[in-house]
Amino acid sequence: MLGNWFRTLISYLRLPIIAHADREKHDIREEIAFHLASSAQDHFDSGKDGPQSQQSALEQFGDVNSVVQDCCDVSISRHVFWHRVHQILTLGLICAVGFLFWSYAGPQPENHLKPPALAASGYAPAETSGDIQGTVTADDGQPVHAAHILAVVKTWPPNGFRQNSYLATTRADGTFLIENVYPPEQDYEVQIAAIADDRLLKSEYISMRQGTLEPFRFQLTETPPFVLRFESSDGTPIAGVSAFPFERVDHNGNRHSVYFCSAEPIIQTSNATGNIPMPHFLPGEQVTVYVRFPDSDWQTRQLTIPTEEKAVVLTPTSKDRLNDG
Amino acid sequence: MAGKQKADLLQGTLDMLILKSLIAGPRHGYGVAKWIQVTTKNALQIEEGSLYPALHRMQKRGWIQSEWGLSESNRRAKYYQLTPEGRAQLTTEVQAWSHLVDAISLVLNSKFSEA
Repeated sequence: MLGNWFRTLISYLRLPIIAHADREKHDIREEIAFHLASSAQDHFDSGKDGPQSQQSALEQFGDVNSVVQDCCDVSISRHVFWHRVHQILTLGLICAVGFLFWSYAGPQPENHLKPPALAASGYAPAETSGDIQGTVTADDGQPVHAAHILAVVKTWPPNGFRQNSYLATTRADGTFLIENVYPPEQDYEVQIAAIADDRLLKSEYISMRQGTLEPFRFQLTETPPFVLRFESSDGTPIAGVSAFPFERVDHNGNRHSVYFCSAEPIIQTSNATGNIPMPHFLPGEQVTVYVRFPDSDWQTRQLTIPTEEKAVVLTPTSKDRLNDG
Repeated sequence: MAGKQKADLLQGTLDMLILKSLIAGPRHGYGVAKWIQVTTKNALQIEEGSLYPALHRMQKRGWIQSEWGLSESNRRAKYYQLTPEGRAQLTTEVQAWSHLVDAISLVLNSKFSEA
């Protein structure tokens, strides 16, 4: 069986299938010509004359052209399998070459075109090798898991000023890492805030500097419950109000703030009760929150966290409307 | 009807007869036809037009292989010879044919009372 396949393959490789058909027909005709000549000789030996012998041989044989075609069909069909294999291998080779060409010369994936956003903003990728990393713990030193880290990096590439925001969440061990966001060899500034459920909002601001940043360490104190309640002037709760904590001033006068452009993960919306929990302050602190009533723009509201009540009611006015500062 | 019966018989046994004709050594197509005719004392005369498609079909199946050579009349002729697969096939076909002959003989030799 394998020997027969091998012989057929060799025969196929020797000649293309079209040329093989022509040669096969020629061979079959020669083979049949010998048959007819031998048959005619026998008839001649039996007493018939030349023309009669040939005529008898032809009549005895039948339709020569039909036999030639039948033989040729059988012979060519031997090569059809290898012809199909040849076609499939050729097609596979074309596809492989096409894929390789497309891989190297075709459009590159988007992440290849856009390395870190900072690099796309004017720096080469190698220049933005600075990482922001750190740890968030509670007062007792236990790691705070799933705290939001909201970072804003300001840089001055050759063609102007850039400000990019980066988001991260602390791991189970309280650590976080944001890679390749600032150029250690160039001037940069960093604003970074840490905020977690039922814990104080804290932030740090790194003024213009160069070099590698040391890891940040945030210690987030637990806070009492505090709720912002949004009501209309007649006391009806307002649903669909968005808000987030913008800034708090601690008792030492230090400001801890969240940049507007990095606040997306901590924006909350009031439900039918008009409430938004915001337990990120201590009683007595001066705080500022960003608020957006339905069909209105963002605005800031300054308030003092009460020592007794656990909620502050805000009503929709345009007095404190913010001009996108 | 008689012609149809004859054709069926030959079609079923032509491969076996060709294989048997080649058991003694290589033969060209005319030699195969002549051997069958002579061996059967003219009782079987195969249709020459069906001989060559059969030879090519058997070659495709690997039962025989061919090679050009010179005939006794010093003419170029294609000679066919058995392959090991062809020998095995001949054994199989002879056994099947024997079983068939035995079965038909049993029928023909049976008495009506036995049915």
